[in-house]
Parts: sequence; C-alpha cells; structure tokens
Amino acid sequence: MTAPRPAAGSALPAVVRTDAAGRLATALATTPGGHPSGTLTVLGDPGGVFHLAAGVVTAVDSPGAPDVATLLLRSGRVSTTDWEAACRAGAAGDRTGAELVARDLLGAAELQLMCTMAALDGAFAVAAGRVDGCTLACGPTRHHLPAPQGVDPEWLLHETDRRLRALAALRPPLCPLRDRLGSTAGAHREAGAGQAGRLSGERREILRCADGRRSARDIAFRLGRGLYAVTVELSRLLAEGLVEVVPPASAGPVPLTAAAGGRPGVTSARRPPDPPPLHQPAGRLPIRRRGASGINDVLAWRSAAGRHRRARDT
Amino acid sequence: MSSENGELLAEMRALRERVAGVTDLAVAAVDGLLITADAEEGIDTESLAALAAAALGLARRAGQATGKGLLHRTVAQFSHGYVVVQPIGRMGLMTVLGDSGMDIARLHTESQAAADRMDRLLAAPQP
Repeated sequence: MTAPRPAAGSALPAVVRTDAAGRLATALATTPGGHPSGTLTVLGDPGGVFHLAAGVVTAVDSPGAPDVATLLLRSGRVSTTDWEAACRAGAAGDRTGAELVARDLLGAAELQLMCTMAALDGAFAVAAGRVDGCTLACGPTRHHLPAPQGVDPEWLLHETDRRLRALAALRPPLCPLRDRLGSTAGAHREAGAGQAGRLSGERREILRCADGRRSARDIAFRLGRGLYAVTVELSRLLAEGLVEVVPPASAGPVPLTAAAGGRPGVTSARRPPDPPPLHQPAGRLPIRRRGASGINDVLAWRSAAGRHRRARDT
Repeated sequence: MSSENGELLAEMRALRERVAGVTDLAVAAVDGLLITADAEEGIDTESLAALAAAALGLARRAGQATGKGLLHRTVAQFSHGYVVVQPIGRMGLMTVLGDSGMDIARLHTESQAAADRMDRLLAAPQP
C-alpha cells in the first residue's frame, strides 16, 4: 500500500488510519501457530517492530514514539548513571528490567506499566503513520527491556484503534508525526500570567518546547512523555489558541551565512579575528580564516612548547 | 540570504522532515568553517562544525590506518541522542543531530543522496 502523504496542518487521511490499523490487526491475527514468538516488522513511515513471545507482545519499537529508556531518562525518573549500571549488569540474559527492580529504581508493577505504555505508544505511532507492509520473522526474539508479563495483542490493537479514533476526532486536527507547532502571542501572555494563568507545569513544559521546529513526536522525546498524551495536550493548546501549526517552509530560524559576515540567529560570543577575504574562490565554500571556528576555545589546546616545557622553566 | 544558501537550507530542512528524530543540521567546509545551519537556538553551530571536522578527520585517519576504505559517515550514539557526521564530496561535511529515537536506518538511506545534492550546490561556480 502506498498512501498519500498528509497535507501540512491536517491530520492523516482517514483511509490511512483505517488501513494501517487493519493491516496491523490482520498481520497479528493471522500469525501462524496461534502463539508465535518472533518479530513483526512494519514497513512504512515511521514504521516499527513488534516483538512477540508466546503470543503476547513484549515490546513495540518505533522511531515515532519514545521507548521505555527515553521515558525514564528524559523525564529524570532514572539517572543515566543508574540506567547504564542496570543495563550493564542485565545485558547478559536480557535482565535489564529485573536489574532496575532489584536496584529499587522501579517497582515491578511500575516496570510492567511503563513497558505497556511504551508498547501502546509505539503501536499508536506505527498505526498513525504510513504502513507499506508487514513481515513476520518467527523464532526466539531478544529485546533489552521486554514487558515482564507481556501485553495482550488483542487489547493492544483495540486500544490503538481507540486512540486512532480519538486522534481523528480531535478538533482542530493534528498529526502527531508531521505537524510542527509554535507558540502564539497568547501563549506568551499566559506564561506571563504565571500561576494565575491556565497553564499547569506539564502544559507549560510542552508549550516551552513548541518552538516551530518540533512535532508532537519530537516534544514527546524531548520531555520523556508518551506520544499520545502529548498529542492530546497539544490539540487542547491548539484549540485554546496557545499554539499553532507552522507551515514547513517557514519552520526554523534565519539561516546562517559564514561567508556573508552577518550571522543572524547565531549565539556566539566569538568573532573572527581576521578581516574577511576580498574575493571568493570559484566554489561557494567560505575561505578559511584563522581562529574563525573557535575550536581552540572549545578544546583548550595546549601549545607544543607548553606540553614539553620542563618544570624548571616555569 | 543568498539563493545558494537558500537551496542548501532547503535540502537540510527536507532531510529533517523526511527522517524522524533529526533535530538539527549544520553544513561546513571540510576544515570546519560553518557555511549554514538549521538548528535551534542555543546550539553553538560554529563550534559544532569545527568539532565535526575534527571527528571526521580522526575517523578517516583511523580507517586509513586499518585499510577500511572510503569513509561514509561517523555515528556517535549517546543516551539522549545521536551526532552523525557525513562528508559532502571532498570539500564539505554535514553534521546531523538527532534525538534518541532517530531513525538511523532511514537517515543512512536518505543522507547520501542529500549530501550528493549539497555537493553539487557547493561546487557550483558563483554567478
């Protein structure tokens, strides 16, 4: 199936949503053997991989939705140091989840809940995007952090379908993967109102991330929150006039032109010490100027003489 | 904005639109001098370009010393995302920043064609 791409500023066409969920349901329902183990790879944009073990879904990985690691780390629920230690200890035998629980970083029920929510979000992202096809590879599957008790695939699809219907009903419509959102003048007024305004802490965080470059998916990754939850919240902010969908062509800051001298949008205290060259070569590459990159400020090089200076010389 | 950098910027934005998780891009000369960037405020793109040139140089030397052939790109993966540096022809390089969910397989598919188009833009003679 090749589905049409959604227009900017609109949700996905209904045909894509229906087909995506339908193809997923068919692929999961018609897997051979009744209780298969393996991976169901969904080709498309963003696509994803369903991990199956004995007929239950243990994880859904998709570039469209944050995985458990991102949810835990970006939200600050687990520190990077603790996470890395648990991963190293649990790497052999896919025991990362057990290590997280053993180290009191997560409760067992919380781990199952996080894995379930991440799998739901992954399935939602896959189904809300474009689905070109599915391939099932049966056999033992390995995942670094599977849901300990698995997720019932029928319930997963039912809940994904419910979310897709809710997404389709959003007014104004919002595509979680493609629409990029920027804050409006009304948002700045609300932010200025502080506690008296309508913005809770979570809404304020989402609003702060809406810089015109990021989609709901990008903000979910940035904050370590679920894609569906962020999408629904952004839709509410959209309805309240606090954010707006930014057309793709106008997204992003003013470009930077190294050869042109002035650099709007660059936040750098450094300036090239040498005057610009009087002419340009045939191509469009800028001419190298000593010290222009600022690499010496970044790396704090020591001179060769300094490195080999003897103690009595200093 | 010159039209050439406008075309470069359009290529960078198109790549960001096509690949989930790409957050920022910067194009620089091979020696690390920034040409143009599509990046959020707060990222020091000039320093980033210089560091990317250094990283690419180190990777190229390591590959040459071990007979690994032509360098396609360097990929650094962190707990919160990626830094990918890709040569643009013989004269430039592109730095791609991505979040932890960046579709790295799609980036590999898309970025080479984008780099080829950018190379043609950079190498075209000035009007």
